[in-house]
Amino acid sequence: MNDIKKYIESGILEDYLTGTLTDAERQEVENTADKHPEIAQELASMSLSLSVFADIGAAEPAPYMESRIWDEIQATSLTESVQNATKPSKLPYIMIVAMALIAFITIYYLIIANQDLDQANEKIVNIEQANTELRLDNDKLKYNFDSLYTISNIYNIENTKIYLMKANRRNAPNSIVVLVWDNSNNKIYLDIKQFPNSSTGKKYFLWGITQIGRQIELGSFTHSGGSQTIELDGIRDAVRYILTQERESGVNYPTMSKVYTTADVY
Amino acid sequence: MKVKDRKCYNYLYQNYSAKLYGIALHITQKADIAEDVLQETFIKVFKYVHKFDDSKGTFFTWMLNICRNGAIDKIRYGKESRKIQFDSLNVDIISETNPEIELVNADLWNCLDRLDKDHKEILKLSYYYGYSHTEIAEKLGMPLGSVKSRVRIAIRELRKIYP
Repeated sequence: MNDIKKYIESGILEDYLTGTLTDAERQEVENTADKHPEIAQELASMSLSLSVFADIGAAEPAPYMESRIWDEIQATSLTESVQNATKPSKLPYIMIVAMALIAFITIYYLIIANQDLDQANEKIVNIEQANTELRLDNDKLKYNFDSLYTISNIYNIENTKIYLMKANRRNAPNSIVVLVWDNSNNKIYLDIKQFPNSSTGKKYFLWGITQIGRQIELGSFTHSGGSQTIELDGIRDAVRYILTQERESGVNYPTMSKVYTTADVY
Repeated sequence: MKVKDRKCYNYLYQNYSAKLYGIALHITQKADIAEDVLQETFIKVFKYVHKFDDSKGTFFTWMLNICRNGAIDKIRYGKESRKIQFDSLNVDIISETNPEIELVNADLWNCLDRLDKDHKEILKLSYYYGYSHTEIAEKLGMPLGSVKSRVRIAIRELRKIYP
């Protein structure tokens, strides 16, 4: 209550009524009057007293003013009606914004999804490629395993020595030849998995090299693709085996430039 | 109260246009500007009638405040400015060039003879002619605080005469 009295006596209401306040200050007074009926009543009473100036200072406006003002009011009302009628509703605007937003989000996720799809496709291709390589490796391993398994079943593993012959890089870089020596019967078995075909008029010869350097021919064969197992007579004192390609009629000594595979015996 | 009606307009215009125009005329000192103020006052009244709250005063004082504020805005912020004839403050008629104003001023000051001369003068400048307190302080050579306090006392005195 004391605050209200102080506010009334502060003189701000007089300032308000004489028009010396700014718009913001004027609005503040009106808001205060809205909250406190005592202040509103004081303001009304003061306004009424001051209106005496209007009573005693009245001056008749020109006769044309009455119709001029009415016409202007009508024109203003009409203009506002047209403006309200033509003013675009906020709803379509909001809908357009919402649709644009949805479209943007959808496109964004489609792009992301597409990128993910591309990455996934790339991964699938890589996996398929790796899978193919693995399958090939597996086939090769299986093939080799089957071969070894076959050999091990045929021969008594306890009395044999098995050597994978080293391929000569120049003459037969991709050759796969397994040499099995069975010491129980002194037989040598060449399990040929991959090897160049014999040239016309040529044969492959297996040579045993002894510790003192003797080169002993152990047998010959031809090869025309695929795999095959060749049985040859072995020697007990060989420290190395070499496989050369020579003329069909044979030679006394192996041609070292025609060595295809070798195996060191240990 | 529905005012967007020609009958309502006729009633308001016939009863209040002269008072509102008189206030606008005294503040702006020019008939054409006062006419604009009167027109804008009625347009605002019709536009914002829904904001009128009769607990804060009568409909007329509401209209009067709109008119006064409009007139003061015209002379303070509009293209038109006025020259204050402070030299003639001791006489009742400020504008010597407008016979219409001279006529109403004579009636005004006769009715306010019961007010103290200083109070009458300060209200005349402040409320009737719409001068700011700063303008009055500068021209009268008084401190701003003195002008403010004199305005307050004058209004209180006026309320005793016209409660």
